[in-house]
Amino acid sequence: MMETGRVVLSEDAAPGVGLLVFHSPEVARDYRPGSFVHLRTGDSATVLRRPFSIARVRGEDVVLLYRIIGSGTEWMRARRPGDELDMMGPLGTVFRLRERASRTLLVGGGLGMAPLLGLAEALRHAGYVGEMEALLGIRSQGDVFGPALTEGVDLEWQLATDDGSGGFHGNAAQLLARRLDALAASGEDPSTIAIYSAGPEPMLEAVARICEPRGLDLQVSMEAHMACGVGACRACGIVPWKDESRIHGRVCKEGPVFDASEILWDQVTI
Amino acid sequence: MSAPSLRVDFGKFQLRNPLLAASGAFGYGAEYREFIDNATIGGFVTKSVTPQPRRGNPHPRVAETPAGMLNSIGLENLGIDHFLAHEWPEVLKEPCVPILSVAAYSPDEYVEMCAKAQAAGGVQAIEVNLSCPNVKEGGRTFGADPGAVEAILRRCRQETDAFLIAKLTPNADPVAIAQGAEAGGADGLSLINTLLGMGIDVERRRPLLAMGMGGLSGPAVKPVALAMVYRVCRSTSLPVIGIGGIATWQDVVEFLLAGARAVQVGTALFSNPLALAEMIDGITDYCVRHGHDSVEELIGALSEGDLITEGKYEK
Ligand SMILES: Cc1cc2nc3c(=O)[nH]c(=O)nc-3n(C[C@H](O)[C@H](O)[C@H](O)COP(=O)(O)OP(=O)(O)OC[C@H]3O[C@@H](n4cnc5c(N)ncnc54)[C@H](O)[C@@H]3O)c2cc1C
Ligand SMILES: Cc1cc2nc3c(=O)[nH]c(=O)nc-3n(C[C@H](O)[C@H](O)[C@H](O)COP(=O)(O)O)c2cc1C
Ligand code: FES
Repeated sequence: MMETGRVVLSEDAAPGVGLLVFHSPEVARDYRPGSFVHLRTGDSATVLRRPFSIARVRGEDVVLLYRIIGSGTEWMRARRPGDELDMMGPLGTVFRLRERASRTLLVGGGLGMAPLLGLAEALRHAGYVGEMEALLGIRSQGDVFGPALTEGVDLEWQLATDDGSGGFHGNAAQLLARRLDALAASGEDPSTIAIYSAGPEPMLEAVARICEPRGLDLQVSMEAHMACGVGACRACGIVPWKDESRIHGRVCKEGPVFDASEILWDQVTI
Repeated sequence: MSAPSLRVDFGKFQLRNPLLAASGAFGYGAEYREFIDNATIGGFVTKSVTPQPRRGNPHPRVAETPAGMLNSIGLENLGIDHFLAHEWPEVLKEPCVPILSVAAYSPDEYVEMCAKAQAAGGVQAIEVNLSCPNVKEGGRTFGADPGAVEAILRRCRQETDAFLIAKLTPNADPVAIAQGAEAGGADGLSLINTLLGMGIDVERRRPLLAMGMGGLSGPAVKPVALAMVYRVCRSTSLPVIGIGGIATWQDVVEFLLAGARAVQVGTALFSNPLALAEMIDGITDYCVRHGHDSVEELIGALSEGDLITEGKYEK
């Protein structure tokens, strides 16, 4: 569970976006779609680790995709092949691979879509997907991440752009609603559709509000500021359950993947 | 020479070694199972339990600061009744000394929790977290008022025969508070809890924590904690647990030399879950190098020399 990884590749995948690939047979072996690593991004005096979803695994190599936003991600960007990484993981509750879906919809928001890549591979591998569609919300057409990201994952993204510069003009949730309306009109049975979503919290909440009244099976991958990463400190205990006897779900432990129907979306305080 | 003994006496307990995990960093003892073997540590303190369930504070609840972190978790927990019925039986199975931490918002609530813990059975030690605001007295922290601390401890003492540890806040004069706790009948002391702190994101002009302010912990607080532990150890005969920014075995030795009989480690576990194991190895080597058969020999063993006295260095 304490693991080291040796950097294989570290490069800019797009402006402001880093791609970090490291070799770790243990992490690669224990990876399940949706799990994350809690990475020490600095020397031994670093006080808080940084959580990152594993985007995908290629053999014994593990792929992280990250937006460069501060000291920790700057440190990651400065890694070079051969450097050692210190991490805890893989951690967290992972995606439940829905069996016998007639249709699988992946809904990603920006770089938050990272864990959906490995999920798509695993679903395909298990033969569970039926028709697979991938919807991606980004700010503008220019934001499309480099080919390295989706290379080898056979996904055709339907884009939604906030500024209308490409694809659907609007956000990923609106694009999803439109798609679901079309499916309903064509008489598709909603109980056979599986939806997986990862991205910023407002998008997840919007997606949940679209799926809930339609009775759709939706799983979401959430983010929260963390300290321990293993359920001990409650820094990330911010996902209120409908089941009152449980108070909050911890993003690091009961999450990051939650069944959307179990969450009180009104009271999420991210 | 045989391996030095790491056993320490702490009141009625003989601890396997002086290393305990601190309240709030170690859940209810099982969360770090894949990283830490509880049969190798002295004990741990549970996350503080409150009389009623608490949903905790808005997010973000933690933020990193230079050599430290801020937290405002808001004592999220399911309340003492749920805890004693569901979690405590599991806590008792851990192969080290479990200490129940209680936090409350009025003196009556502290007393009620001690009575409930007594009735539940099996509670050997209670750490009374005195860093909560007293809601009936305008929100002033109990722990900042020696008289209130004395009164709370005295009433808790009547409700339970568990070993009572008063956990002191650094946001007050710890010597006066320690004396209050001792007068009230505490069996031991632990210090420090977090220091009130704040951080601001200048670009967004917003505090780093959703609650604005929070508790500072980690290496940044260690010198403050060490001075407080040193002063308290010289002013009380109660056994003391040193807490605050302990991250290496050298830090542990510092607190023992300053007079603490045991230490608690919190924040350091977040970046290094193996910290406790590394500290155990480190203090063992230290004892060997310095010719000690027992870690007990380190406690309070600061060579005082021409150390300035309490009165002088306060100026
Ligand atoms: C389960 C999980 C999976 C994640 N997966 C990815 C991913 O695949 N790609 C990616 O780019 N980002 C991901 N994130 C977010 C990532 O953890 C943050 O972007 C990162 O911690 C920022 O660190 P920093 O030091 O560069 O930023 P700073 O803003 O300097 O960080 C300051 C502090 O805030 C915390 N923080 C800031 N933003 C976030 C955030 N969104 N979530 C959690 N903590 C935050 C940092 O950990 C650090 O403690 C994930 C978060 C979680 C919880
Ligand atoms: C996230 C977090 C939660 C904490 N929760 C509690 C708590 O519930 N009760 C308590 O008495 N102290 C709590 N503390 C304080 C610690 O037990 C400890 O006194 C303090 O953090 C200083 O030690 P450290 O620097 O080793 O963390 C908490 C600290 C942190 C960082
Ligand atoms: S980060 Fe500590 S409980 Fe989730």
